[in-house]
Amino acid sequence: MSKFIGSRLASALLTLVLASIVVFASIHLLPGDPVVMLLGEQAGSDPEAVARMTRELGLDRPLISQFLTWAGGLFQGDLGRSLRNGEPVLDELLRRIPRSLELIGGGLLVAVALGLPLGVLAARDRGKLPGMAASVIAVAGFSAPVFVSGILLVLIFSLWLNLLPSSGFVAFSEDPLLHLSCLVLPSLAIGINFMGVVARMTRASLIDSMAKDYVRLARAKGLSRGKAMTRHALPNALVPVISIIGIRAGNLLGGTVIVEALFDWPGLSSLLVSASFARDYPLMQGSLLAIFAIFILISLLIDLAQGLVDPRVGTNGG
Amino acid sequence: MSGAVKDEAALLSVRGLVTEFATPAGPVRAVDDVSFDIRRGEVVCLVGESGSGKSVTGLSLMRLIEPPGKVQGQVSFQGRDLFALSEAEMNRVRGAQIAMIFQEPMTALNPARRVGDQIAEVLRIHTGLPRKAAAERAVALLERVGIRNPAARARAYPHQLSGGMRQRVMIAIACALKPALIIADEPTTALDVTVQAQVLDLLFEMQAELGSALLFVTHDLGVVAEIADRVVVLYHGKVVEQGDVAQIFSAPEHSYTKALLAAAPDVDAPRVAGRRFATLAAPAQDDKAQTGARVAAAVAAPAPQAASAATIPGAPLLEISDLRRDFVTRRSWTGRPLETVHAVGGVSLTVPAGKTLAIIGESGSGKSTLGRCIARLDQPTSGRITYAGRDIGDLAGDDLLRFRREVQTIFQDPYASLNPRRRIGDAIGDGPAIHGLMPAEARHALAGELLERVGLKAEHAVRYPHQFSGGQRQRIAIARALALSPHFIIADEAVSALDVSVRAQVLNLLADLQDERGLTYLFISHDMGTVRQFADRVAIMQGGRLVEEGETERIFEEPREDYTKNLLRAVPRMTPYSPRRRRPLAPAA
Amino acid sequence: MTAVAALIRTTDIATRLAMLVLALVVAAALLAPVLGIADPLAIDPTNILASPSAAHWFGTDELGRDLFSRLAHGGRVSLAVAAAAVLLAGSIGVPLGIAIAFLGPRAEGAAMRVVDVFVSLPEIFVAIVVLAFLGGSLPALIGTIGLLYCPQFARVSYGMARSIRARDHVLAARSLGAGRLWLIRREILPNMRSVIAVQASLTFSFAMLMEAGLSFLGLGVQPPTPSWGQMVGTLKNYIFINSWPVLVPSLALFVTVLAINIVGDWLQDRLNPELQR
Repeated sequence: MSKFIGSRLASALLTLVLASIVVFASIHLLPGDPVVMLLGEQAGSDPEAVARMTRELGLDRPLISQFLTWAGGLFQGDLGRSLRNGEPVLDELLRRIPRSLELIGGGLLVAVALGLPLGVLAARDRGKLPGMAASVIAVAGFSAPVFVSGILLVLIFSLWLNLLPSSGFVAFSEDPLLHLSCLVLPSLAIGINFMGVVARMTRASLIDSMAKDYVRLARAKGLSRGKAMTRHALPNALVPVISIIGIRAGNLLGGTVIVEALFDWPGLSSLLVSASFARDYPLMQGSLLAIFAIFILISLLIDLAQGLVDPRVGTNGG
Repeated sequence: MSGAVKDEAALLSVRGLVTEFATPAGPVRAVDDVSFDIRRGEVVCLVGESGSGKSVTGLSLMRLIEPPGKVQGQVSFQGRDLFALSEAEMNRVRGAQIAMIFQEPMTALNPARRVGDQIAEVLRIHTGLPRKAAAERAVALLERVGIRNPAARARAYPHQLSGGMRQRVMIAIACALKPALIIADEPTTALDVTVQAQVLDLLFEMQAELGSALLFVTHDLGVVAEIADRVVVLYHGKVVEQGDVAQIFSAPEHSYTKALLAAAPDVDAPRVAGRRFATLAAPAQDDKAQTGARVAAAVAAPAPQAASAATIPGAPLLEISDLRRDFVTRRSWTGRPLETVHAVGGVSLTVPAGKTLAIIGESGSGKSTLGRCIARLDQPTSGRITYAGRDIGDLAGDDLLRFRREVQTIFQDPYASLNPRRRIGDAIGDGPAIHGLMPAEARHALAGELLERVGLKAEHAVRYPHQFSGGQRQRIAIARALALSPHFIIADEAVSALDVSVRAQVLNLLADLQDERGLTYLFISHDMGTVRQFADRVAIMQGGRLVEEGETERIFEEPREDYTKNLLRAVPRMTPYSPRRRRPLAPAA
Repeated sequence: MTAVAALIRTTDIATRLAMLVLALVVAAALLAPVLGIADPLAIDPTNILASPSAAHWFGTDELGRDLFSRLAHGGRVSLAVAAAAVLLAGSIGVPLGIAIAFLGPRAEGAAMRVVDVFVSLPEIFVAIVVLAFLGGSLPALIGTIGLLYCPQFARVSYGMARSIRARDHVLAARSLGAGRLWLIRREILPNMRSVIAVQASLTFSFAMLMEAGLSFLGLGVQPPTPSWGQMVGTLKNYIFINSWPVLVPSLALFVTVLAINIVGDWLQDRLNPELQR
């Protein structure tokens, strides 16, 4: 098992290295000179100003050396300073990472808490009315873009029922209750879409497991159909469900982009978007890398969870 | 209680059992009006080929047919009408009074639970034994079914056990509550023959100890002869014949039973050169009168560039010296091999032209890897293979293409060996097309002729593989191989997946083709009975090595190596009078 | 035509409805310029954020433009971007995946590791950065989305090609002397068509959502050209004035993606090779 964890850690690290290359490359290899963009139309046409700025930012050096400098800084926790306000990028990231994690955690909680039962219902009562209804809800959740479900949630819970704030953010230390009530709608908006993913996989995987010989054996031992399902089919069916959560964790994260914009939630995604609009490339690099790091962490945790659920992972195969 | 129960002594009495499955094309009857009885302590074999409804019968008795399946009829067990019980009452019967053993223990055991827990579960369901006591009983049961170090094994997951051990676990689950009836659905089919013998030994030891009756579902007549008190023969869902085992084997009444017995290969029957297997349509033949007529209809002439060695019968056509094939199963992160499996570990063999050399081995013996190396579908790690005097290892370009024309392979699984998206006529024409031998029209004509030669119709050329049965597909695969007029054919378990009756037809076809065209066969198989009838020479492989090699009759009559002797001893014999029989034979009526 | 009729007869009601919705959306998008509907760019300051009326079936937006017309024209853009992106992703990803399957075991492992990283990284973040530099022109949008989804096609094609390559019928073709190109053309590609079709339908709905998301953020399709996501992004600001207008493009997007997913599920069931046996 420790070997399995080791290999997972190594591959997560490799992914992180590749991701940082992607991050760096996507910003430095693209056409469009950041300096010109930064200086704006007016100053951008002045070659001397451009040259000075380029030198100041170190953009005249070879790309490899720029990358090494940046990567070296990463190791020392130095991600550079924002071009806009000169603040260290790391400080801003550390402020925002917990907020994004909160949102992702909330979304995942909603997705699993609603998606699993829905999927089980859809599989158990396949061909009957409750099962079909569950399937329809699952595919609808899966198909609803995050901003559509978000807008509907705002309409229902803020505008009509006046239960929850429609957007905004308050620090937990200032007003815990308000903080949490601000978290509800964004989490639901992300979670409902992902709930569809979880429910559909649960359904497919459970139907598949129900047809397996070991469920037949469980029935032949004298277990009722329901108990054979919960004791034998369901634990096995969860393995692919966990892995789909890992594979689609990107969607979950992608959802935060829309949700943070829609609900004015000051997390990493909205930082990336605003930095992109401002062409503040140290901030872009930093926030993109932080997002990828969170993503890789989630994948790693899910891999490890899979090792716990499926005894065939991480032990010797026969 | 139902009035249909006639035999007072019957433990289980089945009357008019019908199982239907709803399909888009209408209901299909898998089991059609089946009736039989099982007495206490009796062993009844349910025999049939694929599609005979034998497995569905077992599941129907247990009421384990899921919708859209529908079961009708009367089943009385210990005087109770099983089909009238509530689901809760039925649950108390399942596992406690009627237990079941499935064919594939890998899929029948829950992969995510420890085997000890899976045995304990059946105890806890029916006896309410506390967790700890049930776990202890499970360990005792594991020991009883012959698993060494049972306390540790109880904590293992199914994938950590061998196939034979998994089936022992299944037997432990079935016997845990001393059921009055055990239904065993092909419990040894997935196992190697030596493991099968051990598992059967165990099963009958337990059965004798518990006094349970056994309903044994199988397609293997050898096993039937060895274990059955009575036999029920199923064909297309109907019972065609039932009776005492001695009567079924010595005086079968129904023509299907007769044909089935005649077609089944008997490992004790000496080889008769030129003999054909009996089929459902024709009895066994010693003369080649019929094939003579078919030779006249033979199609393609031998390849023009026929190597001289290939045409001299008996001369060595293929020579293998010290062949090795290693598979690296684990590497360090730098790519250095950490673990290596020697699939083939130094094999030397010679295949004479125009003859059949059989390679016999159990799973993992390396026989298929050897076949692939010879066909150059796999690269040996070291060693030499020469075909017609040329080292095939360094063939390239046109030489390799010429070799490809000479050597063809027929694979095991008839469902996988044809491209599902390609019309069979096109598939048969692929060889000549790849080699640019003839235009499209000529290829169509050739495909038609070859289809007729293998016993299908020329019009079938436009159909897709899924429109044919397994036996027909294997004939199509043979036609495809023949299209290049090869001299050497590797048959890799080519008939193992086929039913006995169909197998006989395909083997006869191969034998006829050998006579017509002087083909050389490398016949890879695990079926000793078939090999004895079909091969001129036999090589036995074990763990990647050659155990012994020689004339077929010599190997079967005077095996020299212990491994060969054990292998031969483990094969079920085709007669209930064999001394190996596990149960006393009832006196003839 | 009879084949199409037979096809429709054998499908369930939900799938038939979904097909109808898709047909309507595609027709509206294709025919938008010739339908004789209002100009999607015509501003009417006197009638902004209106609810549905006889003159404006779906109401008007914040500049008084006709929402029905903008919906039809916006759908045109959304569908075209998604379709082009899927085509691009498939035409690069599928050959790439098949090529990797023929690289040999060592190079295969290394190549797939890299592909897997790209498959798993959340695409939209890369798209945001890239489009911030390139600007939201249609070619940039299509190129970005298409390239971002090509690893997925590569992953799926690689997996399929590898599993088919190990099947006996491919071995049989090799033993007949078939070369790589023959194997790919006759043995492998025909057997992966259905999987690619399913992947394409899945990617189509992803690409549509991606375009909508980017346009919603202001990074995708640029005004005045309408796209559904961009309309939602603008109209959401007026949700407390009139909640109707923002619902129009939102529901259009939802219904269309739902229909694509239902048809995709149907396609998957129908083309599932295991079920065909």
